[in-house]
Amino acid sequence: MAATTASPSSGSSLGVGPGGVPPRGGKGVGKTIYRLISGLPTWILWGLVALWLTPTVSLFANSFRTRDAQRSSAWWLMFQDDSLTLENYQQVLTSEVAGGMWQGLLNSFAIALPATIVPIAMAAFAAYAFAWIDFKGREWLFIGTVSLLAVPLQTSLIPLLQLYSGGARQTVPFIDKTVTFLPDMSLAGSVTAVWLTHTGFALPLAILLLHNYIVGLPQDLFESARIDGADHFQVFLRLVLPLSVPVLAAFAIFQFLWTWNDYLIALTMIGGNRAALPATVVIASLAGEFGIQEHLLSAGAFVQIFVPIIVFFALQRYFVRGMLAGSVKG
Amino acid sequence: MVQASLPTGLLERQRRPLIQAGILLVVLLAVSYVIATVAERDLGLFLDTWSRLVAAAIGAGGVVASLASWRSSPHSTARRVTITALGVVSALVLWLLYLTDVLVRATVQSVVIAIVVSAVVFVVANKWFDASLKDWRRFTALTGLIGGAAIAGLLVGNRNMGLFTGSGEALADRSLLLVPVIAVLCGALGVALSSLKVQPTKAIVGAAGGGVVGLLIGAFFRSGSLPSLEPVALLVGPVVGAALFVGLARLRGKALGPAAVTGATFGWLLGAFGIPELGSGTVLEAIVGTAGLGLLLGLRLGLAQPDTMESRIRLERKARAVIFLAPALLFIAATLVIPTIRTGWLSLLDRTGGFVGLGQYRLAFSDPNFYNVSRWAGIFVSTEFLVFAVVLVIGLVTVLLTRRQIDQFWPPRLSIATAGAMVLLGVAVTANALAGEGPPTANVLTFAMIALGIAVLVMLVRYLKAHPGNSGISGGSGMALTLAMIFLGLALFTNLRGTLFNNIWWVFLVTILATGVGLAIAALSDGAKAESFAKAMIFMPMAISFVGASIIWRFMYIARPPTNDQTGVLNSLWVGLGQLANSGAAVPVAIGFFLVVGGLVLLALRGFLSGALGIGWGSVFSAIPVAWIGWLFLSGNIGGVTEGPGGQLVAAPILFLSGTNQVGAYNNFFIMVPFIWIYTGFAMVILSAAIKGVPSDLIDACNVDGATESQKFWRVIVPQIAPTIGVVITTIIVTVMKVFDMVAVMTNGNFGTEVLANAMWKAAFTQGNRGLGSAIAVMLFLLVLPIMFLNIRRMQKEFH
Repeated sequence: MAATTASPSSGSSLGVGPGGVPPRGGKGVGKTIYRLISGLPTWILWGLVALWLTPTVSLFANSFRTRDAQRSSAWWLMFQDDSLTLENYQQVLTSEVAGGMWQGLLNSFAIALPATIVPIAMAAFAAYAFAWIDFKGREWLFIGTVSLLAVPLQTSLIPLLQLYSGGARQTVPFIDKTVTFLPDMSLAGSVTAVWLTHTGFALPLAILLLHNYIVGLPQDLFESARIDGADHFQVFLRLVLPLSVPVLAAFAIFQFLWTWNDYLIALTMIGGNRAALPATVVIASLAGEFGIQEHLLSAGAFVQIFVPIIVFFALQRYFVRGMLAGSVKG
Repeated sequence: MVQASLPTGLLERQRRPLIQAGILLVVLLAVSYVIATVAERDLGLFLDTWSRLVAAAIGAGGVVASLASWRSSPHSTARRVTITALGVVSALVLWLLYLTDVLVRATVQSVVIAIVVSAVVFVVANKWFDASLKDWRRFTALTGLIGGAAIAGLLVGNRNMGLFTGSGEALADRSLLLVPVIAVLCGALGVALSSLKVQPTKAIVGAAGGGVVGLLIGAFFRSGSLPSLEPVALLVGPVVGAALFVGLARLRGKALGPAAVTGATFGWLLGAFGIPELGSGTVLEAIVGTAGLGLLLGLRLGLAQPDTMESRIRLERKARAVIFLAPALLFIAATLVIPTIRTGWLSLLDRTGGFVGLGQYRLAFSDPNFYNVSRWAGIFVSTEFLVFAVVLVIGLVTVLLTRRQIDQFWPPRLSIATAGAMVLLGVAVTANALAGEGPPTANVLTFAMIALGIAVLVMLVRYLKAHPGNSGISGGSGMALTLAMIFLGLALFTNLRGTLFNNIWWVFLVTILATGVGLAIAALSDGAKAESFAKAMIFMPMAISFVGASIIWRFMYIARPPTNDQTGVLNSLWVGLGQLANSGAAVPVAIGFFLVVGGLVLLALRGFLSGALGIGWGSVFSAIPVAWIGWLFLSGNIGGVTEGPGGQLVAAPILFLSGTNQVGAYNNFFIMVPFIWIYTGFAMVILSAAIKGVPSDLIDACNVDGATESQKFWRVIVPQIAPTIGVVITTIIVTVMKVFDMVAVMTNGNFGTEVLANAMWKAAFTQGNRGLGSAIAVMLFLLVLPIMFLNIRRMQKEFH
């Protein structure tokens, strides 16, 4: 660890706590202790990394062990009893006992893909308008939209479910006529209801992210395009969209992980329709019957977290960029 | 980032990908055909040609998009290969799923239809308003067409009008024919109005054309929608409407004539269709109603000012903003704004929809599982409170001793706030003593305590903002003060129980721990060997779902019966420690611990002697827990292991999630751990980026001045990244406030672990009391309101 910075040029290296003092030329016991302690930050860091990995590793290890082995001995003894097997995975993916995990994965895709694509398109239009079209009340509309980020989605759940299962009607006071804004489309219990909900909830964050990026694009680029006779629509399609690919990708990853991992919205909007439940709800209900299918739980959970972890490691840089844009600038 | 000059060719269409897509489409179509044939023969799945075509298009589109991103990507080869391969593979997987799975096909079809429809609407809308600048006549024709189609489509779609057979039955499937007819008529009217410039003619043509269209619409009204006109309403409506609009126009200084016609139009609409009974009138009455409406509308359009270039530009700009914003804002209104308002209304209703005022809120607070302060006196006699006091004193002493300007520590406002809160506390205690123990005084005391906490926090934050880098808080004292806060929280929330307090405790503890540990790791890893690897490992849980994390941690917490081997990591460690402490190895281990204590004491002495008080107190501070663990080892009181009747050792594993200690207060903490496990990575990544953004000349200046690492961190870096810390804290608070998944999966709110979101879900969807569920949701909303306010303030500053 570079906490013992003797040279001023090593710049950004840091240590916290008692380790971070330059040596003051002590001797003997004091010096030995000092050396031990100044190495401490590195050891703490690697200790924390090990601590952070242990839970995931323990799940992964348990997923390869038989029911009896999981119940009778700890996972780090897995190589002593040769009980390693792939049977758990086979059962989780094929058998109905596990609650239809394969169907659950397909449902998760059916929710996460539209819930990622649709809001990006809408948010890109809106972000462009907020960034480059001048109109009255723009600032307040933007701040109002983005401040909805903090609204807990619990406040929308009950009315939204009523909307999906019964449509939207309002009786006009005084003249007593009921106006139907949306007919009953019997969406409750379908994956469509879930991704529509995700789309709405994702828009404030998407607009914030894309706006912050688009507003930073050089203005003279657009002006020269406008002088060449391009209108807003062409500027948006040919200039802004291609230049915004990095932030679009960042938000897409963010939103994909979020919708893939969602539990609350799927549970509320799909409810009892088992055929449409995504993987998170499947493993959660498997966990509810702890004991009976206990040995399948680790394999099921691993299957569910496998997809986001692959996406995460492949595209980590975009993910981090999206998170930073959302938190630091906004 | 982006070059300021116009990239060449960016405005030209790129045709090569299109050709590639065509070739790929043909190839994939062939392959799709083969697969579909095999699937039909062997699996009994049938696919029509249309489905095969769409499947091939999906595959081809995905592959081309991936390859196109390959060409334009600025990244290294390895990254480009990964991204492109990922894109190609996922396109092919989607294609295969599309061919074989019914559900995926239905979803893809609905998404494709939704996207195509929105794209067409968007492009048409843009082209429409392009015309307003370039060709006014084309624009009015288009406007007429679109407006007519919209009105006719709405009326046909709502079954208000339709074509009939001879017997008066509606022809549902052919009624849509009315839409293009009316659209074309309206379009023609638009062209006529834009060609005429002379005023009386224009108004007359408008009124006549509008009347004819209205006549046509009225003639096809279906029997269920025929209004039985009331002459009084039909007269009074337009007059009142006209008067209202004329008044408004006078106030705004606009022309009175057109305003009167506009008002009359609205009045007529209300008088002819709003007030009368629908469904009991005759066709003639319907024709009168619609023809009158059309006439007035046409007259208003005929009276419009002739267009100028200026008005066209204004129109174009306004319309363009609407077109770009409408889809997103409509969606936000439908899923966030209107439902939130509706939830507020629902919270005032009972189970059957009757109005009960604040009854549901009273119901929530009368439940001792939701809000329970009856054990408030226990706060002051608890061990946690004692530890809080001790640690606070250590921390404050460290702060005072490590500061150079001691006199500045208590700024005026901080002392006023503290004094005020103390007075409040004193009043509450006195009132309590006078009235005897009872819920009302307990409430007063509770709120006094919370007020004290908030006042001190707010003043501290203001003080730190006013004196950046001079807070006197450093490594040792910072840790001590944080720990003191945590122990105060423990003392409060082990005695104040219920859903509401659980939620506050979640916010309090998770925010402190996730931000604190995240900051520590960001600092520790900065410049360390294999920094990015260590950070990626800590960050990885962010990709794991809350449900997945709950299951992962349930495996960590498993408690097997004492007679069996423990299979969970934590209980294995706990019981193992107990067995070690009760074996022959206890003394050597304890000696090891006390050696460490000795080392720390030596270090403390060195620190005090050389004037580095932070190090001195930090060492003293960390020596205490180590000595305590050594003492536990010597006494054998660790790991819950006791000696059974037969002299054998019996272990007592910890029931992490279903323990009964302090009515289950600690169970909450063990559900928070996975949340902290996930969000520490979030805090770390953002804070690490902020630390790297601290200007290097500041750090260089520190090094030249001979500042210690600890000073550098607490006096330069922390004040520099303070705004980012604020953002991290608010983000985590907003997320934690609505925690649901973990509680639902790990305990479902049992064992004293209920939180607001789970209580809301249970009330609304399990017990079927939507009013109570809405009331709890409203409370959740009120709790995040301060954060919303802060965010708005921050964005106002940053918007420009």
